[in-house]
Order: sequence, then structure tokens, then C-alpha cells
Amino acid sequence: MISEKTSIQKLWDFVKNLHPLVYMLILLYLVVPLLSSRFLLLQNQMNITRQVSIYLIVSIGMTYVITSKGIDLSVGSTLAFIACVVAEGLKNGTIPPLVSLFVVIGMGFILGMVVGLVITKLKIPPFIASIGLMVTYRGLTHLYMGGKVIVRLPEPIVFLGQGSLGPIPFPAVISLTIALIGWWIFRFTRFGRYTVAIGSNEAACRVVGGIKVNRYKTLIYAFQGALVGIGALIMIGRLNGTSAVLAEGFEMHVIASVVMGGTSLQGGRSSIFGTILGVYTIGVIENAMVLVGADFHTQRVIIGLLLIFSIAFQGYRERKMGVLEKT
Amino acid sequence: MSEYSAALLEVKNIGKSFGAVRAVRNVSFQLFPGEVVALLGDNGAGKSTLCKLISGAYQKDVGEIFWQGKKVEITSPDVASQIGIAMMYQDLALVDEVDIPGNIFLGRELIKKIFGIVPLLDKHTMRQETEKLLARVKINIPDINRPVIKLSGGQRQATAIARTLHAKDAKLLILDEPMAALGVQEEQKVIQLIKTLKEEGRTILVVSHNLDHVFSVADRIIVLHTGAVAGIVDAHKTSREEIVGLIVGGGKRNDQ
Ligand SMILES: Nc1ncnc2c1ncn2[C@@H]1O[C@H](COP(=O)(O)OP(=O)(O)OP(=O)(O)O)[C@@H](O)[C@H]1O
Ligand SMILES: [Mg+2]
Repeated sequence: MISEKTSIQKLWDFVKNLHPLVYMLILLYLVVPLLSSRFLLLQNQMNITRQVSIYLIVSIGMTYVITSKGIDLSVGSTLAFIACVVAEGLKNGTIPPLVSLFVVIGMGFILGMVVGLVITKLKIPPFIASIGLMVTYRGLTHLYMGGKVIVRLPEPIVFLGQGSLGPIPFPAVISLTIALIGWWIFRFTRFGRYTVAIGSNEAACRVVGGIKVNRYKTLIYAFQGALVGIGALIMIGRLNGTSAVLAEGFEMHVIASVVMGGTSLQGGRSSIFGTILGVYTIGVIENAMVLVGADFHTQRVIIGLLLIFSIAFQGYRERKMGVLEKT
Repeated sequence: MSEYSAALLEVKNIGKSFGAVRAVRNVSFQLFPGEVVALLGDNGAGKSTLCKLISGAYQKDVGEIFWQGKKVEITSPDVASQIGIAMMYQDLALVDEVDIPGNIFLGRELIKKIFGIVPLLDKHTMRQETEKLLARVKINIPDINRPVIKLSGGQRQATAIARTLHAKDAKLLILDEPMAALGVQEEQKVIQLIKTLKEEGRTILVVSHNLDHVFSVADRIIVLHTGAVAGIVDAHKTSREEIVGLIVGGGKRNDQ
């Protein structure tokens, strides 16, 4: 007989099953205010949400990629390339602001699709394929810009990056909406279902399910690319300009967030909620470092260590849960 | 009509190698409508490979396959299922992180359209259909909405079997060790299920290592030894000793 659980037990179960990052965030919110009195100001909190928005958008795409047992290291370069091309178009008037949204999504979709095609057609492992394209796209960006810096973009684009709805930054509204849609696609569509299934057992998908695995994989990278495109537009709006060195190291930040959130590098297990927490946690840590005066390079050291720590922690947790390592 | 043209499936001299390993060598046999044929052989004898050649998971190196008298090229699992062949795989049966309905409908999900355009998974109907299929297998699974990695070995097996049954118009069902992970009671349920399927007129090719099971369901027995046919015998006109002899490689017999 299963006896009714007391409310204390229920509460304990709830606390036990909370995402580890929830505790991390609680800890941060207890400790950081002691280091900087500015941390808790509404203005600063809203700044954090604005800062993390672009990371969140791309991390939603990366959650799909990693769940399918892939990886995409080219997102930073893709973002920079799209940002520069579109910023130039906006600046010289060939791309009207309203059209720019379609341009970034279309460009992102194609650039992402190229990543997917290199992986599936040329049969190159995702890690290597996307490093190759990371370098290629970055090189193209530099060729296109030739050392130029673009500043002062049309008003609507700047609003997209810098505006607010009441107290809430506009990018935060967009990114949370995208996260919600990302969660919904995972749960309710064939695309989401196949992303999980391919990451979980690709051979079974091919043989037992007759699924066109390569087509879906390519689509996953294209989807990721489209989100990178949206991120690029918000990024140039927020900075009100761009240059060819935009978003260097961006991919590490994104991957760290997704993995910290609990999406498994072994494929098949994903958590959009975890990704939101992961992005936000890193955002808070970065913000804290800025407030205490740490420089950019120190920040990168911390992000690198976080990435390593979170992957190690994920492995530990999976072994503890008795999940067999996949080969 | 000759026996030849009445065969549902005929395999002629097919072979398959993996590098230096000749997994299936010069195998020929026929399957007739409505019969249960057991495929026996030691570990590594080539049973799974042979099954996969028929289900389209592997491509044969040499030989011919005839379906209802016509020569066919089974170039993919899709082709196999279109002509009416469904297989339960020993190894790559399930997608661990997906739930039972998701596994049963993998690759042929039911879709509903909201607002007449947006295609969504019809989880409700898939769940109902799944419950019906599991009821046929008669193996109890309390919560079908969990990822199958959290199920017991027997429950996973039941899921894989149910998946094969879902191919409603399949004339030939290939079951690669369907009883391997089952408890005694569940084994009996699967044997009963195979008998029911036979009564429905389906042809079944079943791989098993358990001679009790084989003798309780099979009409005929095919024994493989190191990739080649060691014997094809009528299950009612043989003995355990003879079968064991064929499996370990001591004899040869062909009733066909
Ligand atoms: N994909 C593969 N690549 C290389 N060799 C393979 C492959 N599949 C099977 N083999 C080899 O072919 C031979 C036959 O294997 P198969 O799986 O068909 O045996 P089996 O009769 O099903 O054995 P078991 O009873 O253990 O399931 C073995 O020697 C095996 O190592
Ligand atoms: Mg086998």
C-alpha cells in the first residue's frame, strides 16, 4: 500500500527534484549583493536579462543541436557574418528595417543548413565540420568588412536591441517567447520528437523508423541558424553597430549554458527550462564579475572553467543516476 | 499450383559478408502463408543477419529474394514494410529517451492539424492505440508515458513486439528473439500471441534459443550453422536431439 505522503514529504520531494542551477542561483543572489550593492538594483537586474537574451535565443537552437547528439561551434561566426551583411544593408539602405528580419532568418537558415549538409553529405563529425565553418564564416566576415566598423543603424533596429516594454527589455521578451516556442516544438511536433529520437538512437530511427535522418539533422542546424540570425539582428541593434570581430567565443558561452542546463552531450536528453537557467546563471556570474571590476579576460577564464565543470558534473550525475554511457 | 509459386517468401542462395566474416552463406529457403517457422542456430550463426537481409536493414551481397513469386529488391526497411514485411529487431529495437507510444509510432506518427494547418503529434490517439496493442501482447505496463529506458527488460521487449504488431497489413512478421528478456508467464503470453497471429493468417519467422518454445509454436525449423543452412525440418517429424545436433554442426537434413 502506498500511504499518502505528508505535505512535508511532498515539499522535500519538490526541493530534492529542483534543478541544481536553482540552488546555484539562490547562492549567487545571497552572495553577490555582499560584494556589490548595485547588484540587486532593478536597473541592473533588467540589464542582466537584456545581456542574456541573445545567448538565450541561440542556446535554444543549440539545445536542439546537442539533443540530436550534434554540436555547432560555428554559431559565433555565423552571427558575426549575418550581423555585418545586414548592418551594411541597413546602413546603405538596400535592406529596409522591416525586411531585415526576413533577411537574417533566411541567411541564418542557409548558413546553418550548410553546416548540416557538410555533416550529413560529406560525413564529417559535427565537431570538426562546425570548426571548419567557424573559421570559414569568420574569414568571410573579415573579407566582407575589410577592417571597417559600422555604427548608427536605423531607429527600429536600435529599438529592437535597446528598447523596453515597460520595465522589461524588448530582447528579453523576444527571447523568452522563443524559448517557449522551443519548448513547445520539442513536445508537440514531429521535428521535436525526431530531434530527441535521433540523438537517442540514430540507427533505430533509420532502420526501425525509416526516418530520413540526414534530412532532419540538416533541418536542425538550419533551425539553429535561423535563431542565430534573429540573435544577430538584436545584437547589432543593442550595440547600434558592428564589426568583424563580433561574437568571438560566443559558441563556448552558448554550449556551456546548454550543458549546465542539463541537456546531455550523449544526445537524447534535453531541457529547455534547464537551458534558460543555464544562460541566466552565466549571465548573473558575468554581471557579478563586471560589478566587482574583473576584466574581460578574467571573465573568459571563468566561462572556460564553468564549461569544464558543468560537463564533468553532468557526467557525474548521469553515472549516479545509473544511466549507461552510450557508445 | 506448384509449391514454388505458393510460397510467400523465397530466398535463393543469398550471402552477406562483413569484411572477412561470412555471416550468411548461400542460404535458400521458402516461407509459406500462415506458417510459423523457427530460425535456430548458435550465437553468431547468422540468424539476425539473415533476418535483416529480409527486412531491408542490410543489403545482400549475392542471391535473390522472391515475394509471392515475384523477384524483389529489398533496398530499405521502407521497401520491406511496403510489401508487407515487419521485423522486431534484437538489438536496435527502441529509442531509449522516447516513451512507449513514441517508439511504437516511430517514423509513422499520427498527426492532427490545429487550425487546419499546423501539424502536431496526435499524442492522445497514439496513446489509445498503444494501449490496445499492449493489451494484445498482454504484458502489463503501468505507465506508458515514461521514456522506455526506465522500463524493465521485459517491458521493453513487449514494446518492441507491440511495435511490430502495429504494422497491421504485414503478411510476414520477423521476430528476432522476442522472448529473450521475458519472465516465464510473459513467455507463455508471447507464445500464445504468436499462435493467434498464425490463426490470423500471418506468416511468422521467429528466432529463439529455447527449444521448448520452438516446439510449442513452430511448424518448421530452419537451423543455421556458421552462416549456412544446416537443416530445414518439419517440427513434428524431428527430435530435440536432432535439432541440437544440427545446431552444433553434427548433421545435415533438408526436408524441402
Ligand atoms: N554489422 C556487423 N558488422 C560486422 N560483423 C557483423 C555485423 N553483424 C553481424 N556480424 C557478424 O556476423 C556474424 C553473425 O552475426 P549475427 O548477429 O547474425 O548472429 P546471430 O545468429 O544472430 O547470433 P545471436 O544468437 O548471438 O544473436 C557474427 O560473426 C557477427 O560478428
Ligand atoms: Mg541475433
